[in-house]
Amino acid sequence: MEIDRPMALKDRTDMKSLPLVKEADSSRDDVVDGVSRRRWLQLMGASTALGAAAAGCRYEQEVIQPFARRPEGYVPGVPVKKSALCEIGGLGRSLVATVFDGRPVKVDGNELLKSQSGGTTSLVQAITLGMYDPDRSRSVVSRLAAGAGENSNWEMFKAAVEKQFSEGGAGLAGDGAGLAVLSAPTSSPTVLRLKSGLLSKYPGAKWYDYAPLNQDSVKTAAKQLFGETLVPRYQFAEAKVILALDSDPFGRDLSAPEYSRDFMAGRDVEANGEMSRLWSVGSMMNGTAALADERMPLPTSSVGLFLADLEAAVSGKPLESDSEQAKFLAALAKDLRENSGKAVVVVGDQQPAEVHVRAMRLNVALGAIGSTVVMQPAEELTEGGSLASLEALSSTIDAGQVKGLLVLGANPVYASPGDLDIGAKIAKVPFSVHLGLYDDETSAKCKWHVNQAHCLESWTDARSADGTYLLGQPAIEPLFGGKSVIELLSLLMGVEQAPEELIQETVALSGKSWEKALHDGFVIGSEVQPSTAEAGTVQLPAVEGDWQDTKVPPAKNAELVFAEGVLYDGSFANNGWLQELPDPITKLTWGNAAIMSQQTATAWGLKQNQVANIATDIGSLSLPVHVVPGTAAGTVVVSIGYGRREAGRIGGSSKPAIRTKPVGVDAYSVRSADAWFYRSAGVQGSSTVEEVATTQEHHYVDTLSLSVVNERVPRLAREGSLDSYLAYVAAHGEGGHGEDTHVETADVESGDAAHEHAGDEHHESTGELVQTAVGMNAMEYGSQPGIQEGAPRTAQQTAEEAHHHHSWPELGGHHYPNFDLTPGPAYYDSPKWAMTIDLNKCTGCSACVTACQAENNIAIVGKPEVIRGRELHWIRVDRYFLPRYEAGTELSDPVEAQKLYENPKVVFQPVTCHHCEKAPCETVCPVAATVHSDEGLNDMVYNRCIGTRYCGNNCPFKVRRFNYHNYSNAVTFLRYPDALASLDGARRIPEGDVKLMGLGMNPEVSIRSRGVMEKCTFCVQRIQAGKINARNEGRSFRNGDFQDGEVTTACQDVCPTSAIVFGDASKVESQVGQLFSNPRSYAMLNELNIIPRLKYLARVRNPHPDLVPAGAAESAVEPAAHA
Amino acid sequence: MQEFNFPNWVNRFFYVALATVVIVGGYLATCLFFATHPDTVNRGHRPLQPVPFSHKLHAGELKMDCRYCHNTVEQAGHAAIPPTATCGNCHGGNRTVEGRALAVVQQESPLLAPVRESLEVTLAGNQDSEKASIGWLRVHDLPDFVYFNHSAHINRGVSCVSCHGRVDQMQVVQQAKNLSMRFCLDCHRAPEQHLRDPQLVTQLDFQIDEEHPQVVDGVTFTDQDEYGRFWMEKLHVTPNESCSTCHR
Repeated sequence: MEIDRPMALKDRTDMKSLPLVKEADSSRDDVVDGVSRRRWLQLMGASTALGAAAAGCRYEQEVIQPFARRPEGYVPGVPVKKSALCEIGGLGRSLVATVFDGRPVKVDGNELLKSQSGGTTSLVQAITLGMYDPDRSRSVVSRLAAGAGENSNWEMFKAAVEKQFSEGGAGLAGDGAGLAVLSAPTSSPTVLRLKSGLLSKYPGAKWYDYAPLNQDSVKTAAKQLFGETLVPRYQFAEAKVILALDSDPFGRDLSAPEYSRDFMAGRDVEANGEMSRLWSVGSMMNGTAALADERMPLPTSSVGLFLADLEAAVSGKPLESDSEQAKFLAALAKDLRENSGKAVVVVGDQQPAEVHVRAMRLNVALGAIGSTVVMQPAEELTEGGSLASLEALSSTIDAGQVKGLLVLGANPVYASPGDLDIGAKIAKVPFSVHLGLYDDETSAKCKWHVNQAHCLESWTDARSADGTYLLGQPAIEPLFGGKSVIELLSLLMGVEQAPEELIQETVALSGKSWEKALHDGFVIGSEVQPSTAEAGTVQLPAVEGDWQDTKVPPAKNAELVFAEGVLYDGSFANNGWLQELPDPITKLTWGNAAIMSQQTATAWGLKQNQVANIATDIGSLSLPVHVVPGTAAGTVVVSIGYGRREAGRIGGSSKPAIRTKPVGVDAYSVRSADAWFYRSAGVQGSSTVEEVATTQEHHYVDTLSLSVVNERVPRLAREGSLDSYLAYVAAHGEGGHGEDTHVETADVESGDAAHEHAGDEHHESTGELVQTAVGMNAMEYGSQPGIQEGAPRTAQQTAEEAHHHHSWPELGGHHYPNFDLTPGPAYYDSPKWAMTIDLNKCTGCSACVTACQAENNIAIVGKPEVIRGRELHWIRVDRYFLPRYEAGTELSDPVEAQKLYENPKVVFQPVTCHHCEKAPCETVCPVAATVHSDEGLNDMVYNRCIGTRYCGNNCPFKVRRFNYHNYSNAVTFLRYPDALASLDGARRIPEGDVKLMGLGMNPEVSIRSRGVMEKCTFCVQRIQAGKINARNEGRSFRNGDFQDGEVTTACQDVCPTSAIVFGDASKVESQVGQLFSNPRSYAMLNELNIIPRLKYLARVRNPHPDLVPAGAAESAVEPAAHA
Repeated sequence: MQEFNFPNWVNRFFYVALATVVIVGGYLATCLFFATHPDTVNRGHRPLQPVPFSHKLHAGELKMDCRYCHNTVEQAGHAAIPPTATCGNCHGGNRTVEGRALAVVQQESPLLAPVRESLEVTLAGNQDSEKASIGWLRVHDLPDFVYFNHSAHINRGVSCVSCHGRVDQMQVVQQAKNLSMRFCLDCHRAPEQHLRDPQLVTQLDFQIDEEHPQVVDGVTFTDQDEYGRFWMEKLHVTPNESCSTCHR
């Protein structure tokens, strides 16, 4: 008889695609974990018997190896902070390394250097992981014989170099003719000093510099306009109106931490009473476009046309058109003109020189130079690297004039135009040396590879963005005995001095001032003076074409735009933290995709995840389609930095011992020297589908939450217009709502609210919905209830809002009295740890995610696991797309509804554990592995956790992460990126490599193993360290004794804009206490009565009055109504 | 085929079997409980060290302060094992530096050979030699998920003796307390039984009763609980029982 059994959840077709079901599905786990479940049970059975027999034995005997002579002042186990310096893209960044027992485990921005932000970027945070990377090259490699390289050593290399010069070797003349040096961009004054020394010792030698991401066109433009090679540095704090033209100053720019900090200083509405306005025009959705108050998508190639019209409009010749875009341009021109002297135009480095000339000319006209833009002499700052330089080297090699080549840190064979074929040319050079951290693509073409010392391992100097002289001392001895650029150049020149002495000679300091500079990490007052060059006049060729007809995608020809992704230029490809870091906008991890708007995909008949073939005249790419609303019509964006063939076990490698498939596709192969940043391409859909690993819609628990995502977003990530906020403050004062304690309606409402949110997951996006829209399903987000401007509000919503605002104030914080069965000791007046996240300051940069990984030993899980929603990040940055202005009525026509998302606004919301005072996770744990502390922390006790995952299920914020495997054990996760394809390759990594990676772990935090739930702890190790310090100093650590900044979380430290504030909320005058009573503060899902200790501050937008639709403008003062 | 039935007399064995299962099972469970009890597993652990250093001699008879060797205990989580140089202050071997003879207690003792070797190879600049560092075996080994901080306890009047016992009477150091979680919590719940003047924490034979009164600020104490409560108040000792206090 057929028994009607209930179906397993994972087999139900209606539930199969749900993220949470996918995450928990264990049917494929045997394949990836190495030991099958059956075998595991056998082993367990055997070991239980053994365990019983051996009962009474202790755990493994530990050996303590003390120093024979302990260095003076050194206390084992106590971290020290040392100034350090790392250079990325020729720009120095002064850092402070936290060093445990000689091992740097974390870096932070140097707060002493005021011209630099105390915050940093993900790239900087990931530096420590890169240093302990077991795939770094560990010795000198010689490839003199054909075939694979063989390990050599520094002495043999030295002998080979000497031979080249002494006997003429491969033809190097005494004056160095035939010697060429190809350098990565650098601002190191010592390296540049050695360079000029080298060139004077060997006048025949040639020096080239190359960077795939360069400022060539900026410099050319400045040369034309100012007569000098200048680069702009922006002062956004001064600016009232900012136009970002196809640029990303608050996202991918190397100076983004400083730029965002300054920008947010100008957006601090509480301090200033007003806000600057950001306009963004460009082809792709990026961090800056997401922050913009007004934005217009425009293909990269049309930016020049737009700027020409804007220039005319600003000077009083408005565009004669009544299109929507013309209206935008007129409003923008008006705004710029009205704020002359306080306005600035920022153009992306990838734009051609003519566009930069126009922008600089406009900045001059607007009086921006000297106020919001400082023009700095490029030569004094950095040897930036240029494409022209690489082309010059290429032709010199072709002419047979290069006998000896020295590649310093660069990787041109990978990161150069595909049509230049520089690899084959380098291979022809008789004596070639590559100095690099990895035995990479370029190294494979050179005769010698010298392993480079990491920036944390060597003496370095560099200049910061404003030219401040920075110094870096090694935080650790070179792990693999690597050499720095300075050491290699010294060898070539026969200089005997140590790098430290050379740097001291460059900076010309000694005694106390040298020690102070070394301690601080920089030399005070050493910044470069801005140029005072006057702008001349430049005749530009007249431009022709209409940028206004670019709203509809062209029939077939795509505009292929190359974007800088999370991996920078690809040099960070073997960094697992960065590979797994979701891009702020696309939320993609582990690989790149063909990013286009929904409109474009529909026009070309493409669907989400469908592999598209993108053909250009020099090659083609096959990439899955990923739909991102707001991308310009007809534009396809592809991130560079992927598709590395010789990066390592993470990024891809062809070395037999560590063979791994490349992650993503190499976009350099279709870049060409003449069209470096964009080119025309044909796009053709293929029949294959490749799932992209995007994190945005993970953790949904039911279909309901998927369908109503966009209705809920405005309540979760709140925002309103500047006008409405000022009106609210005028009516109520800044004291806000925090003091009210109306609880009487609680019981009436909570039943409904709890029901509504049972199993709710608000990790929403439109990504999924847009995907369904491809299939022409009706889109449901026509109407937007909520508080943002323009939303037609029903009486019921207003009442509900009022209720939410006033019924659940957070202050007064009783310690979850309803559940507190065992009250803590009566004498203990504890601090109340709390956090606020200011959505108005968040740029979505995701540095907090990487900083958290570094601080808390969070493992990476690999692409297949990310696809299943098993990533372990304790803090995530949710990204929502919303229509820019409310439509007012529900749109049943999907095409019309889709148009709302052609130019959406973007909301970022970092979400981490809310440390709810009445935490839902705690009540369901059968073993009390998650419980509340006296200080209001929601403690997670790993050693008690048995892995039921009930807590994760019951968490309304979905911030709990489960270890489905031993991810922190490198043996498991390292073969994930390519788990099935190369089982013979990176299957096991040697014990020594695992130990090496262990050196980079923070010893203050437990390493979690399989079967354990984990989550944000508010950096409890730092709280405990702060408390122990205070107590050792004899201070009390009760309620209110804690000072702001005494304990900080890792995400707070790294945030360039100080959007994250952590502290003791029991103290009203503390920063977090103040923000808790800010009128903008709100608790997410406060209707659940969980009293979270994390509050958000609503975002304030500053749209231009001329562009706000008529209906929306009226509701500007609306939020006052519900108070 | 004829059906086979157990005869009735077999039934009585059912109760015997049941009793056997209960008794044997109970016995095994009891064995397992006591065999894995922290008192069994932890207490009395006394590994033999590479150098048979006697705490009884140094701390007991010679009355050396614990912090002469464990000198980071007030500043750090670890009460670090001293570097060989500390041993060398007295046991430097038959050496002179700049014409001055160094302290050479027991200069020929074969038992101190590892100490002399360690000092000699490092003096010769051979830091990486295997003999440079003496590998001491850890006696008090807490699980890796426990974060105990010595400075937090020592600075607030918890004596060494509370957790380590009378080390000054041990020829070979052994674990005196079981150091289970319950052991920690007992003290965190009733700290007054263990607190004293932080100046006296290394006084392992400390006593307080009618015959050994303690006078602080003119107040005389003859009872540990009262004395402990006084220091609790004075030092703001508010021990925490939250999980994150020790587990992170």
